[in-house]
Amino acid sequence: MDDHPTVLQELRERFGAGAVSVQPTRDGVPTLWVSKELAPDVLRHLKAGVARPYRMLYDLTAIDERMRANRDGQPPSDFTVVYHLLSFDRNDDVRVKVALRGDSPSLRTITDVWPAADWYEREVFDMFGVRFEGHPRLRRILMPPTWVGHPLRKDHPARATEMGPFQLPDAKQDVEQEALQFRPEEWGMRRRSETADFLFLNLGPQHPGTHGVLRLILQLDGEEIVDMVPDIGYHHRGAEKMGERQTWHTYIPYTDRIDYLAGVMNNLPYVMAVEQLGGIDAPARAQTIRVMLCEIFRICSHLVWYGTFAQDIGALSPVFFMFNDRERALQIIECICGARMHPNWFRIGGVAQDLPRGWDKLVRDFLAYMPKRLVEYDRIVMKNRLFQARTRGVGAYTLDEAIEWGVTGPGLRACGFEWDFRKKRPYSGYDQFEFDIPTATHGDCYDRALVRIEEIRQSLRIIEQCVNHMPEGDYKSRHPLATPPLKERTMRDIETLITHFLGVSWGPVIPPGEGFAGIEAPKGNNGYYLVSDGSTWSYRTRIRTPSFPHLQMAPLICRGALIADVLAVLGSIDFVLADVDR
Amino acid sequence: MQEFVHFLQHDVLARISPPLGALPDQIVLLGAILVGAAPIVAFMAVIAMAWTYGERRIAGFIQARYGPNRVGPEGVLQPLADGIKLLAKEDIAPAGADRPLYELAPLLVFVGALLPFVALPFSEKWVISSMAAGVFYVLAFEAIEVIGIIMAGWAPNSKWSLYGGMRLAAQMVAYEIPMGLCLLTVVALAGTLNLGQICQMQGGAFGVGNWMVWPWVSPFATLAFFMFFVGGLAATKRAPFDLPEAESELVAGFHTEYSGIRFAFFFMAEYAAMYVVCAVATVCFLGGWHGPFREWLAPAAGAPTISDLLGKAVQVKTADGAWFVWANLWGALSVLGKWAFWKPMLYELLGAFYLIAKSFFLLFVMVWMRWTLPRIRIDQVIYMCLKVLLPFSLLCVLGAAAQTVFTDWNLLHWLLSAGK
Amino acid sequence: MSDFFQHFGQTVAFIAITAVVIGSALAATFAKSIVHASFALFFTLLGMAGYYFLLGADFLGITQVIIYVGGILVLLLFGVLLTSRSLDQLQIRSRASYIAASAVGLAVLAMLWKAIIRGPWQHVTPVVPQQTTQSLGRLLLTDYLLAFEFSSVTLLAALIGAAYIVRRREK
Repeated sequence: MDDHPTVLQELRERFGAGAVSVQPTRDGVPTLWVSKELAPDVLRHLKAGVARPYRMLYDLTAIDERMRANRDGQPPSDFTVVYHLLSFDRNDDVRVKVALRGDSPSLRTITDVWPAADWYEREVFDMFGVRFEGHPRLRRILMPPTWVGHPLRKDHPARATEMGPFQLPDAKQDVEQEALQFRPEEWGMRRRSETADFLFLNLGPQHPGTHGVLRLILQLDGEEIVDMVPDIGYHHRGAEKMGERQTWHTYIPYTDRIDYLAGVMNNLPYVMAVEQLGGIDAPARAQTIRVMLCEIFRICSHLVWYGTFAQDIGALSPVFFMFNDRERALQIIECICGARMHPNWFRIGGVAQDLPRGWDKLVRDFLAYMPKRLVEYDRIVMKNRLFQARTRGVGAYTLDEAIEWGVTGPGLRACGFEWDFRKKRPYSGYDQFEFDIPTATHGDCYDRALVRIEEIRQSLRIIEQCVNHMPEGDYKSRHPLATPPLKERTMRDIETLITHFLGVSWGPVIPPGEGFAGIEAPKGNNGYYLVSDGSTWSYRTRIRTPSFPHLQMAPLICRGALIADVLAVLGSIDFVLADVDR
Repeated sequence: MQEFVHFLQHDVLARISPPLGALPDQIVLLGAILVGAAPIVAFMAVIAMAWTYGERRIAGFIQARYGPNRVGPEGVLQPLADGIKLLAKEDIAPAGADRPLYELAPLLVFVGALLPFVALPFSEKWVISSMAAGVFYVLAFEAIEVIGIIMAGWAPNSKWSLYGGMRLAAQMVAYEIPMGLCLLTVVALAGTLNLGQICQMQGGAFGVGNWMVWPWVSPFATLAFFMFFVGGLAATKRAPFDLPEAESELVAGFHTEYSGIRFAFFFMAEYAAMYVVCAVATVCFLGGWHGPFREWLAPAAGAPTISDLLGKAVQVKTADGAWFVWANLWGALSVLGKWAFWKPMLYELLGAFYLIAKSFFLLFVMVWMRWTLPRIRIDQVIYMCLKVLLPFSLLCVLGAAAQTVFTDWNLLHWLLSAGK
Repeated sequence: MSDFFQHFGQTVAFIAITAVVIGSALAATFAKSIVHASFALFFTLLGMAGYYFLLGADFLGITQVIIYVGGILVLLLFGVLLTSRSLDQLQIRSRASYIAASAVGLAVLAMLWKAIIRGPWQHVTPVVPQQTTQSLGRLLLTDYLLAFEFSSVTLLAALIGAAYIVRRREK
């Protein structure tokens, strides 16, 4: 590629040739195994020691390897902890894997290297029972504190029917009630300072301003936020566990529900990752349809954000206008996909159906309609003096903080950093389109809003190019693993019929391997890390969502602010609880 | 007050039946208060109901939707349906609530909203008590509402309510000062605290020439009017000052834990308070009951008053007995057929129409602002009060004082007379 | 007859107001929670305004409402609510405080009693003063100008002092 030393060379140079072993993957991300003793040092070195460092902890997860058959050449391991780092300087990733043995494995925490590792390590602990030594507060994060077992372990049941009927005897209810008692110390908060007794305010899980079932524990001195601790998991539906139960094909509808405002945008990284594992190339028409639908959904998502953000600030009317416009966009989606919020439209190897007749007129009407509306919204929202007074300088973070905490998407670009997967690592044919990456400078609520609104305009540009240059051809690949296969030859030759039958009844068998695909979703980088064990379902499905790290960062920017600012910050982060909890 | 009682005793009751005229003052006054309070409560309730409907229809219009349009023609009966619903709803109190205070708070708020109506004129003659310190009185009795709301914030034992109550207390106490100073500007110009007198002097050309709000009358009053309106928004906790009940932050603020009819009290009190602020602004700045064409109906000097008419119609004074009572009643009713009776009546009615129409326009602006503007933050609320409104309202008071000392309360008059 | 009712009405009003004032004052003194005490004070202060109205001093009555109810009581409540909730259960009724409070109360009562007995009371027919506002204003800016200005300056000093105390301290 270029004459820089590879990351493997750099690490072997520093830690010795035997310390690092390599595993080939389908996505081409260098995947390095290190011992658990060495792991924190290796990660620290990668973050700060190497030239052009890996500054962002992009993802941290684990794999229960105990049932996995195809592990050719990998070190023996019961539980593998996977660190996914991202280097902006190299525009490259590295994956560091640590093998752990035994039933209650443990390793050193890296919260001292990346503060953002806090929630990720808690999630791995919660889901796999891997202990992180030295972690400040290693408690369950997604599951309730009284939960027994670690759900993503292979021996944990996935279905309710495997767990016996639910019962709530008095004794159990008492235990559950006791677990709900709020004790500030457990959340790392003090009850009083030298000058004041703090007031603790439970914002949520049912609250009009949190956009879903999120609980924020506010430690208040008057109206000032001393500290804030988000309590998540109320929206956890075990999406990753479902991935190990559904076939590759039948999991697609589940992805729709991750960021439920972004619809097909969730299908894309999943099918991209599966296609990567299966070696399938989606045809150009399918790719362009995907891009167009994704951009329409980006607009939908941003419109919902725009309206609700204005409402969080206290302007009650914009949300009606924006939902109205979103309705128009969803009508296009409905005409093409048949569904609105959860279209479930992308397929392994393409999309479900070709575009309907007259689709281009619908889209062109929308393209003609939308820009004028945006100008008006600028007038009633962004240029409003009170709105600016509420958002300018509020909830600001620097670029360094953003990278440190794993912020991607508009939140990162609002700090003035031009980083967009669509440009930096073009997928699905984005390199064929002309569009700009909007950025802003201050990284405050107002700038995040500015970036998103400009993104709507850029999305309109992309959609227009899709309409004008929609390629002819197949809407789905002719690869045998494309599911379900193109129907035209099914009734003619027996081979296709059998493939079709197997693909529908069992699902496609994806060859063993690992792969990651990430895209630029409306809220940030959304990615699927899939492990195939050569079967009809995924061995491990890891969903890297943007909202998770973004919400983790919220306390940092809320401290010292007022209650009203918290709502402004939450609105400007633009998270979806389903995207946080999965 | 005494005059009014006197009028009732001698001009109304005694003419209907002499023994009625001998009723003691206190009884007459008590009766008048009871009979008079009913229309006020009714008026307040009608205003509140009309504006809950109006607010929702205007909001619907602004937000490109319909709003309530099902109950009755165009949905005008919606407030009635809501009222029945609120009455029929279960009255829920939180378990940890301070019951006596919890139940007292909505009543206090309601009473607090009702009291200013005593001094508020509806038209030139239609005012319950034309008290000398009317401006001062209206301001003072808003305080009772504040206490009620703080009570409502405390009593349910909910942190959301408490925050709402605290924000409101901070906000209302702060904004009372610039609001008072803005009214003081008018008082300095008018030279009286009596709302009726302040209003009376603002007639001028075509009934609109001398409104205080015009810059040619006094630029200080113009500025004071806008600041008073802003202060009024804050005092009635309307957007952008709706922090005490900020939905996206405090759920519903001080009335989070109230339901049913108790909630309705808060609701009615809010609209009543809005009307009071708008009516005071109208009386003090927008010429109150003055308006075009009203002079045509003005009673000529020496024209018979309603009281005179009654006196003429009711001739029998000395005779006693039930028969005469009926005869006198008939005489009193026959007055209704005379133009001389209707002319002053229409004069008052037109005044009331102007006053209420102008107040309703201001109310409309309040509603319009609520559905347009975002909410500001508590520190910005206080900043706005102490560092913007307060200095400028002080400037207005000083300016108005200087104006009255050196020129005239009406600059235009002074300029015109200086030319002569 | 009318005269009798005149006095009768005033007497009834006086008794009613007095009942409210004394009742709420007792409630304020003996209330278990400091918040209840503060709210009881509300009725006491309002009742005092009622006395003024009864005496025909409407301006004074309104002033009582705006200053004591709208200003001081709101500030008091503000302070009570802002302070820790544990104050609600605070033991303000220790034996020592009872004795001290009773002693002070009795002393004040004794002084008042003496004043009431010794005072040169004259029976005057109540004249309802018209336009108290105007004459009050005139007096404040003529005969009592010095006192008026002095109290304004004191308040200004208090205001500046308060602003100084609560200023944001540089860290």
